[in-house]
Amino acid sequence: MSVTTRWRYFLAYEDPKAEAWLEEHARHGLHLTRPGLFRFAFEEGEPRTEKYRLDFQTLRGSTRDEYLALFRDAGWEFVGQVANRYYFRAQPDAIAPEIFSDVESRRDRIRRQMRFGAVVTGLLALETSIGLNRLFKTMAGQVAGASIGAPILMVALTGSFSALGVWVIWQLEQAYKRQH
Amino acid sequence: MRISAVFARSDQPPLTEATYCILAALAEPRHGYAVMQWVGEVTGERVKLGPGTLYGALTALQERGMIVPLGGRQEGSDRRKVYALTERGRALLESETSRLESTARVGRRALKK
Repeated sequence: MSVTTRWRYFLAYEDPKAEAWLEEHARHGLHLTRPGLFRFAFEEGEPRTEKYRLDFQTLRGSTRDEYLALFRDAGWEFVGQVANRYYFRAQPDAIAPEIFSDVESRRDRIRRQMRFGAVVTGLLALETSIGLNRLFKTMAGQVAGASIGAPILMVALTGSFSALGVWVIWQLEQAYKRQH
Repeated sequence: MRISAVFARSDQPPLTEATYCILAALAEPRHGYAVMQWVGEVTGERVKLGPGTLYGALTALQERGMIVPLGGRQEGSDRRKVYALTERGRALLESETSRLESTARVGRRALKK
C-alpha cells in the first residue's frame, strides 16, 4: 500500500477545518494512517465518504484505554493522537453519528481546549517576562559583557507565541458561543 | 464568557438530558456500550449518545459520587468497565424524575385548556 504524506498545521480552533481537510482527502482516496502536528501520513485506497472528528483530551493509562474503548464500541476508529488531539474516523456501522451528541458536551470539549491553551499561553508569558527581566538587566549593564541579542530573541519568540496563544483562546471562545 | 465559566462544571442539576438518561441506564449495572444501546432503544433512537458525551458524563457522575465502577469486568472483554448507581445516584435519579414529572404536568395542564 502506497503511503503519501502531507504537511499542514492547524491551530487549536481550526478543528472543523482539519476535519474537513481529512474528509476531502478520503474522498480522493487518501486515508489518514498517522496524524502529526505538521506531518500527516495517508494511505492510498478507494475514495470514501467518511467522517473524521477531533477530540481534545489529556488522558493516561487505564482512563485512556476506557475512553478509547467507548469510541471503538460506538463505531469510531481511533486513528492516532498528537499531544492532546485525538483523531477518530467513523466506521460505516457507527451507532453514534457524532462523537458529541449535545451542546453541553460540545461546549465542554471547547472548554478543555481553552484550559489547555491557557496553560501553554501562561507558560509562554512567564518565559516572556523572564526574558524581559534579563533584557532590562543586560541593558542596565548589570550583567557584565553579556550581549543583548539572546534576550531580545527570547522575548521576541516567546512574546509572539504567547500573543498567538491569546488569539487562539479568543477564537475558541467565539467557537464556544457559536455552539447551539 | 466569563473566565470563571472556563473552569466551571456543567454537570450540576438540572441534569442534561444525556446525563439523566445515563443515570437511568445505570439503575442496572451496565458498561458504556450497553448504556449507549439502552438509551437509544428506550428513547426510540431519539437520544443517540456520542462516545465523547458518554465519556464526559460518566467521568463527571463518578467524580460526584453518583456512580461507581464495579470491581469485576464484563465477560468477554478486558476493557469495558461496568458502572452502577450509588445510593446518592439513585436518590438523584429519584428527585430528578419527580422534578421532570411535575414540570411535565405544568405543560400538560396548560395544553388541556
